[in-house]
Amino acid sequence: MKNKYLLQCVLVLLLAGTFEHSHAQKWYTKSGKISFHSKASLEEIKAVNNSVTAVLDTKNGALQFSVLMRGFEFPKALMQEHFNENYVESHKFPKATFSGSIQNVNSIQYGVAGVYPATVKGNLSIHGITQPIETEGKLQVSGSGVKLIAEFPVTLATYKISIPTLVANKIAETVSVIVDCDLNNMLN
Amino acid sequence: MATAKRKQIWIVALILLVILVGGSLYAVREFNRQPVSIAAANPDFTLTDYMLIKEFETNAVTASQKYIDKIILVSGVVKEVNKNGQGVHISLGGKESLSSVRCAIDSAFGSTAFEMGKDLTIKGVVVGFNSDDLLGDDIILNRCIPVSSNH
Repeated sequence: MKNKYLLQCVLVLLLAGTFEHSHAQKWYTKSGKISFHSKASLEEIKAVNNSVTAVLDTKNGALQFSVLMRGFEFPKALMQEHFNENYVESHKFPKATFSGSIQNVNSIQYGVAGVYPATVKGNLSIHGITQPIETEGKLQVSGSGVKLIAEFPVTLATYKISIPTLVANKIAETVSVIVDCDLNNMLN
Repeated sequence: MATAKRKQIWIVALILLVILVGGSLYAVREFNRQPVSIAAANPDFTLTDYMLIKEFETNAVTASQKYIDKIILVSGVVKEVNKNGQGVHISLGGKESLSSVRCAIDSAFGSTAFEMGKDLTIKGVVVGFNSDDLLGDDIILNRCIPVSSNH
């Protein structure tokens, strides 16, 4: 009788431990993808960065992104050079960062696979300028981790990214940023 | 006298035309220039993952100036292979720390199998250094291609 009671206690403790563990995790990736898209009257520009670092704390919804500006790849070398040297000045401001959180953290069930809408709010820093932003996105939960999907606009002038008048017809004033990050690593 | 002057005008016009055409061809070529082919390029530096990580951890500013935008040949042990929708990401490094040399393998080589714990030599462009207290220090490379160990 005593042994059975002891076994039950141990089982309950183990289960409690597992439950707690699976619902308080930090998921991260160092190969997240962020791309941006500029559609102007004369030209359409797309660039992709596949080395984005993203960390999500499922307990409180804290979310961080770190993007190396030089990691953006353009189809044309000249465009990539202008982007780095003249527009974002990556030698002065090598990283763009986001620090914020998922607002509706309570409505996301990390233990149940599915797609959940998410409201993300925080501070975005690009080119040395920090601005608060808020965007809607999606959180795809699966056995292997969490996928973050979002699309939001970035007005270049807000971040003091100035485009010379000569190429004003080739680069849009507001670019579309697309986040598609697979956080499939767990932090212990 | 008039013929000589006309000849002069023709020569000037011809020179201007050559400059215009030459200039235009150069501009078009420059505009359409693709990023340099990694496979064909000679690496600016050849070293091990350990040496590269050490240089960046010692002085990130000097190392950044030395390596960023350069094509390097780096060899080490595969620490992580990450296949996601965006292609294959390899990280080279030792077990002693979370730091690593990370690279996005050029999509053309995506089907090559990469094994954890095996030696690998890759050639790629250094894009930057990402230092994180929690996640370790990473030197990030782009457009990497695996190089045969016979090199």
